[in-house]
Amino acid sequence: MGELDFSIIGRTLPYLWKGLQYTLQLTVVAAIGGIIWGTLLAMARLSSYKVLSLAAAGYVNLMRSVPLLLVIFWFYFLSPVLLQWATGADRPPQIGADRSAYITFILFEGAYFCEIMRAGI
Amino acid sequence: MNPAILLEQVPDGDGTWLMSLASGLQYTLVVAAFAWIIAFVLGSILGVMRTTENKWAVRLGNAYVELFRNIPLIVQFFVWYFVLPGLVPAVKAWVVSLDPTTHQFVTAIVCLGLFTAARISEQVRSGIQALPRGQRMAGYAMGLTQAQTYQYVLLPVAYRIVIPPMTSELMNLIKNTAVAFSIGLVELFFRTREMGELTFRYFEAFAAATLTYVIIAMLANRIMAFIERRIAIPGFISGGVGGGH
Repeated sequence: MGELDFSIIGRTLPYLWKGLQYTLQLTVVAAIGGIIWGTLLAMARLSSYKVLSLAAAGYVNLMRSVPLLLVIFWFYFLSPVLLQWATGADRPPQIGADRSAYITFILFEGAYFCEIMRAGI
Repeated sequence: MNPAILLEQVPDGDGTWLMSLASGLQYTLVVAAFAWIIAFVLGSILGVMRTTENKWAVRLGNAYVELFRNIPLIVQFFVWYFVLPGLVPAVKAWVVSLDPTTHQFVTAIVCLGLFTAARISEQVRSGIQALPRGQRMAGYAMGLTQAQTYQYVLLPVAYRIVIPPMTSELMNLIKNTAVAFSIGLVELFFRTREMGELTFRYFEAFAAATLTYVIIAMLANRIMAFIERRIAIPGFISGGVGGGH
């Protein structure tokens, strides 16, 4: 490998800045959505309806024992297929990487926030 | 959904997809096991350092934790795999002499080990600090040195307190091995994606991987709960009331 050329950072800064903006956006959306979804899950887990609390517990345990990468891929590859199957469309609907990422992070973080909320309640 | 795909032969391979996933699982577990050893030893040392009265040991430990916890794991993987050999000629020379698979394997163990050490050190520190101050005082009052106080008084109880959060860290470590796919390590997640890409049977591949990860997580949880019960001191803290969380 040749000498280090740090000037590349200056030249790619606008590009990196775009990426950072998306990172921050995703963080904010996932945090807010995750807290709301996590609170609902925590309430479901503590509810006296057996079915509801079992379903929430199953969801949380599933999400917590699977790597995030796997969840990201599940949603990216399979939600179009599932949506097609659910709506009966002829082609899988386009979801797009960004919307898929938002949904994935909210659903994934929700499980972790649920545990935090439950400990708090 | 047709699980029979798992019994079909891998193109250009000498086994079924099930065997391919199983070999990935083997990498996942072996990497996690070695990384856990590094993480546990280094994390314990750092955790203890951060509770001593030596200001510089505390600062060094804190700096390590801040550094490793605040950089995304995938970035750390890339730094160890691509940047470090470029920066240090000796590492480069060693790395090119290795089989690429061995290089990925070693990188994954070191990276995950050092990353998880930061998290374990947090747990060990909080375990020691959860003990009443009097325990340390009592140790010193009995004429024990600082090292002896840690060895005989503080750590035996602190470790028992932090078994539940340690269980979480172990499960996180196993899940984090999936990130090693980014440097090309052929662990379970890599194999799953490969199977999806080559057969277009994403559903079956991902379902098999998900089920496997869930089973490993449950096993890890049960094993730690068993250890917790076995080493519990009767009538002390959560002694006798074992179980997961």
